[in-house]
Amino acid sequence: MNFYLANYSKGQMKIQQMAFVLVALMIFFALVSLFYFSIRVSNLEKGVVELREDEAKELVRKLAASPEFAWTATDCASCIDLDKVILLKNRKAYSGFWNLDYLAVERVYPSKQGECSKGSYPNCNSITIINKTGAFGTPAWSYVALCRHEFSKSNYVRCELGRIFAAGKGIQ
Amino acid sequence: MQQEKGFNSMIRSNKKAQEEIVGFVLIVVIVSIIFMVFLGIFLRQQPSELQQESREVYQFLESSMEYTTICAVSYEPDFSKLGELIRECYSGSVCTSGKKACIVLNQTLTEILDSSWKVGPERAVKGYVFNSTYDTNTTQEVLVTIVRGECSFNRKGAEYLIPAFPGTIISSFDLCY
Repeated sequence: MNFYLANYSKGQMKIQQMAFVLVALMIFFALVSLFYFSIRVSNLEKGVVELREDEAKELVRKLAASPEFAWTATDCASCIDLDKVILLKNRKAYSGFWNLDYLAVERVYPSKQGECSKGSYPNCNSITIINKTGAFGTPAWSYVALCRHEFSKSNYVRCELGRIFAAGKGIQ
Repeated sequence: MQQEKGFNSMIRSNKKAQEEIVGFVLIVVIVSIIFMVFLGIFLRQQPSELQQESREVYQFLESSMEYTTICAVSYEPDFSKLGELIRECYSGSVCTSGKKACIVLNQTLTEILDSSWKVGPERAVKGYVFNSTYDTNTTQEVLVTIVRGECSFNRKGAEYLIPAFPGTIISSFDLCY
């Protein structure tokens, strides 16, 4: 009888041991997979944000290639006509044309100061075409070449480095 | 007789201990194999992170190459674009102002990069590397190299190609995070 009891409790111990090991293994795998999936999800989220940013940049770039902005004198995909942009600035008819809350062009290099007006152009830094509301969030932007006819020394085409900013439903 | 019994039970307990150790080692091996498989899958999806193509950088390169410099090689006001100036630098041309094309190129490029990309240890972009090389099938000649800040493995960049017979000028720009 004692022999059976001893064997029985030994067997129980073994089963308990195995159960503990299995539980420990399960917990271990659960933790590892939790860790793995948390990293995967965070990478996925980062990827989605980056893709959205890239898409917004492409849309802004596409906007820069529209006939209202495009520099057509030479074959240049990234060039916008700054003379056209300054003319667009005060045209009320274009305020709802692109379905945007904010649209602006800024010179990056060489850097200058102030908002452009017909009087200060081209010795100025930025041209705001649309600014409907102050709460448009962070605008999407893209690098562009800002080209114009320069008449100071003699007539030639001068391109500078700039950025085009846009925010609103039109680029979402 | 009693001694023999003790010896037998010792052998039995030794065997049991060995079995336990083998079981433990087996579990450790299985766990580490599964862990390695997870790690392998994870790492296989990661390498693209280290050197990613960036549209933003490509747009920057494309736009910068259109920048009109102060160097005119043949006559003024036929000023060269930055992309053309890299080609002129490779040819060893001199601007009408008397400056070498390579010097104007280096100066202009440095100013453009400095005003476009702010780098530093406290910023998102830690540094950048600009490289322009003339590449044929057999030779490779470095024309310009500009490095700012610290560059580790995590890079985002793009390349811009300018044809220059018989080879190509490859301008690459990498942002370091």
